[in-house]
Amino acid sequence: MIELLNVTKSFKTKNKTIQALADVSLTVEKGEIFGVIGTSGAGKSTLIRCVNLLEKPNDGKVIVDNVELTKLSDAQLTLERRKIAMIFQHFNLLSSRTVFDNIAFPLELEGKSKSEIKEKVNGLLELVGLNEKAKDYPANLSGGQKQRVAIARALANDPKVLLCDEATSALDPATTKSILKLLKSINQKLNLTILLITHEMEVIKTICDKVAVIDHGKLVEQGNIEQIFTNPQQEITKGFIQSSLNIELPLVYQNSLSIGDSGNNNPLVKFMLTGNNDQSFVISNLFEKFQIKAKVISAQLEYVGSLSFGVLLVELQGKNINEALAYLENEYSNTEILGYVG
Amino acid sequence: MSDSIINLLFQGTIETIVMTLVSGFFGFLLGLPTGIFLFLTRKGQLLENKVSHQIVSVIVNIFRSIPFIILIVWMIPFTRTIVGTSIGVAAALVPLSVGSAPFIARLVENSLLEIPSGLIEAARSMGAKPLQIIRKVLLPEALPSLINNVSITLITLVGYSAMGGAVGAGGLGQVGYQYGYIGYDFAVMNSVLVLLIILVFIIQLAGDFLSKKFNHR
Repeated sequence: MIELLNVTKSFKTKNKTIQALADVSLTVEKGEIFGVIGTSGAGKSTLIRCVNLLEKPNDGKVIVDNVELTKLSDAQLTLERRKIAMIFQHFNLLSSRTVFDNIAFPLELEGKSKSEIKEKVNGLLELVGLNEKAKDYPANLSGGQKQRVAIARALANDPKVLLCDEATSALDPATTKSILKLLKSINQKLNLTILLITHEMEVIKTICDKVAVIDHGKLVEQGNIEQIFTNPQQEITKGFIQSSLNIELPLVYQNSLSIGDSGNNNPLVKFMLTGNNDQSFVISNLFEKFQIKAKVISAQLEYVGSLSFGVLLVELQGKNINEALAYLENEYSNTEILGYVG
Repeated sequence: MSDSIINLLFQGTIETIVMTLVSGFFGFLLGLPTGIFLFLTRKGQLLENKVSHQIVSVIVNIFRSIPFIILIVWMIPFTRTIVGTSIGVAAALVPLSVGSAPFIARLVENSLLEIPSGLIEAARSMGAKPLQIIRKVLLPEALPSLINNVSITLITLVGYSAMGGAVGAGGLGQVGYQYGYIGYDFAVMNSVLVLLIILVFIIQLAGDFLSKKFNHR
């Protein structure tokens, strides 16, 4: 549905050229939710703006629903954009219009009749759960409600694709969840293709089918989220995954932790589970193989589709500690001894 | 104060109001599109065009540098060809409109610059044509600020028209100049002053009220 082929974009400032996108190619299938993750400045905003040509690429092709946008005239492009909806981090609602009139805006552009607009807008208000706010101005809405209005506005022209530019980055975690849920339900109900960019792995994990990682204007890794989450290849990808799994050593352990082993201390070990079903049996494996008792101190497990992955922090107790540590290092990724406790 | 003087002041007030409103109208007729053009041709805007922006910008700056009292005199030949005379209310309208237009253009440009750029981007992403963006995004979003500009302009025009009284424009300025200054009549001078102050206050209050009414930010 969306195809970027070797898209390149650079910006010229006074004394240097900044390469925002370097030879970026990606394909988003119909009905898919595709996420692009990257740190700020990685080029993700430019990437999503290249899809509807708010930024014109220097080179490469952009194809949406079999129309090669990069070939169109400005006037043709304007009309084509009406089928490519977009929502933004800061919502970008018109402050001079009520909620109803904001949603009506794209319909007015199309020259729809008053009665058509009324029917369509009321349906959309229903869909995003804001019937009661129809006559309010955006200034009186919460962030989450504003994004709901923006989503309703985006859907008004029955778009083929929806572009989400950091749509939840300005929202608190609970509101983020509800907006993501809404996006997912729209995706399923309308079979709407969604391309989103974000810097939060949480967003990718919650709703995406596929993910691409962007770094310094290049897509360094892409694939199904199961694949990326359980078997990341690039350091930056691993970093994103780890940042979504943060467990901290409980305070009581932090105080009694010593760096070296004074003889009969127990190691605190942190390691990652990466979706391999057998790995989930780590506690019983340690006991059966090495008679090691593993005391779980902290753990976080997440599900991506049917696969689980996560991080586990355990204290190992028993005689065959070294063998057990070797086993963990071999079988699990990112195994790390945080210290020893008495 | 004699009836004839009161009559004169009343006549002057009406003339000042007419000059202010009519030249304000024509000023905006010229200034609003110019301001929109200046904004749209700026770097990074919808119709970015450095050359046309510079040209219009320079013309606007030139007209803004000319002191109003000199503009009136300088424009006399042009005024004559348009309204047929260089004296009175009708003649004053020409320099007042021309003099306020560049001022208005800059005010409008500034108002439009206050609009968050994300709104224009969103409108573009929805497939709005440039004219639709001007009509449905730029002007409505800037309306409260534009209304403030109208009051600023009208108040400036009250002052300009009074100034014009010294060189043949009608209105309170002429009354104050002729009867107050030349005729050395303090009562007339002060009455003119009070009337001008009242006029300015009414414009400011009305502007504030309307601007607030249309501000939903």
